[in-house]
Amino acid sequence: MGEVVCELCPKACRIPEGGSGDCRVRVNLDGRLRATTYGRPSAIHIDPMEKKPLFHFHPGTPVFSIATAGCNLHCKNCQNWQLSQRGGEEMEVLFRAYPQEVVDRAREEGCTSVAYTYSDPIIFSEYVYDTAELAHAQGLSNVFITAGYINRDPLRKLCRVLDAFNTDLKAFDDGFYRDVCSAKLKPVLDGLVTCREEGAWLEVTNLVIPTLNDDMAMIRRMSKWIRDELGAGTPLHFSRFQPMYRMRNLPPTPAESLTKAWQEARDVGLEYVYIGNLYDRKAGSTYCPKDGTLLIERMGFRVIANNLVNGACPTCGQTIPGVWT
Amino acid sequence: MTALVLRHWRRDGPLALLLAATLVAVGGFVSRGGLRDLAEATQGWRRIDTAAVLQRISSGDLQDHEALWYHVAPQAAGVGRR
Repeated sequence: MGEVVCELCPKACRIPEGGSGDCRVRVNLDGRLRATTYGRPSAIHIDPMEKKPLFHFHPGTPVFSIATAGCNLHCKNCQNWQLSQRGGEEMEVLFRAYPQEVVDRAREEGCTSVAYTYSDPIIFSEYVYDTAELAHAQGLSNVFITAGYINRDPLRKLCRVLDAFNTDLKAFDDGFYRDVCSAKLKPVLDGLVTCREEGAWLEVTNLVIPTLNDDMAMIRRMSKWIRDELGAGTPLHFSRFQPMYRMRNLPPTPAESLTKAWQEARDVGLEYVYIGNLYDRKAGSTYCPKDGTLLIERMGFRVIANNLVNGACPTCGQTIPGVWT
Repeated sequence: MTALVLRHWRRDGPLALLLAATLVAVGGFVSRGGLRDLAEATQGWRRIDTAAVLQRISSGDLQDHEALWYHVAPQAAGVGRR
């Protein structure tokens, strides 16, 4: 018996007996690695799909959302740090919800999808896989809200049972990843390309933090990379930062910065760019890139009108990328 | 001369004591493995309250579900290194 090496994420933690990975929930007991939060979520909610945010995937539908303790990143601005920066043994709330129970409950609540979210679901990937497989068998979709810090083989396996991803691209700068998130940029970019190759629906979120990642030249480079590697039809969400956790020294993102970022991404050629965590009816709605017709009007997380006809613009017939039915 | 030293001691003594106490505290932290713990937190694994994990597994709050995606490390390698 002895140490084990975790192969799930690029951190490749070498874990002695009795220790855990950097994620706090994958524990070496007697020389075998245990997923201690399997079937033990600490958060269960029903959210609108728009809250994930996923704007081009079953709009306006409720999503049964689960998360366990732990995370393989340690972002100083984490908004779910009470969940993500703790191990399972530190949690007051641990629900008992095996995969079949999650699927049954989601159906009872009228949800058409299950979301693996809040902390980073990568660290409970065994639970995700088993639940998602059952959900598929019973006609539900699976969505994965992640920072995308995962190795290629486990990601490819997850892609077999996941239908949509929202991946947080935290900055287009390795220094930011190292300083703020205790991670690296390249594995995240590789993961995004893998998701695209595997054919899962993909949207990207970028949280704009004043002074740390709000340089417009960097946002332009990131937008170009998304256009070239993932496609101009990939939705990009710029999200507003709020002071949280270990980053209370910075102010909320000014609306002006978000608008500038939105404009940069549009100028580069991204067709579906949104602003989140800030009321902006125009930048929160979907327009036809060809003729400008309002396709999906949103107010916050609420869909006010969905004018798509068979996934296309009602005026010019342009097909809009996404999963609509 | 003695009076001068005493006057200075009264003024600077508390500061000197504070500095000494700080050095003792830092020394204690280092000798108790505080730096080692900090280093572990950034070298890919964490020291956790294993007894609490085992207790919560026995009570059913947590699971001992075997994870995928790992291998047993070669014996010769140092603990905590990648």
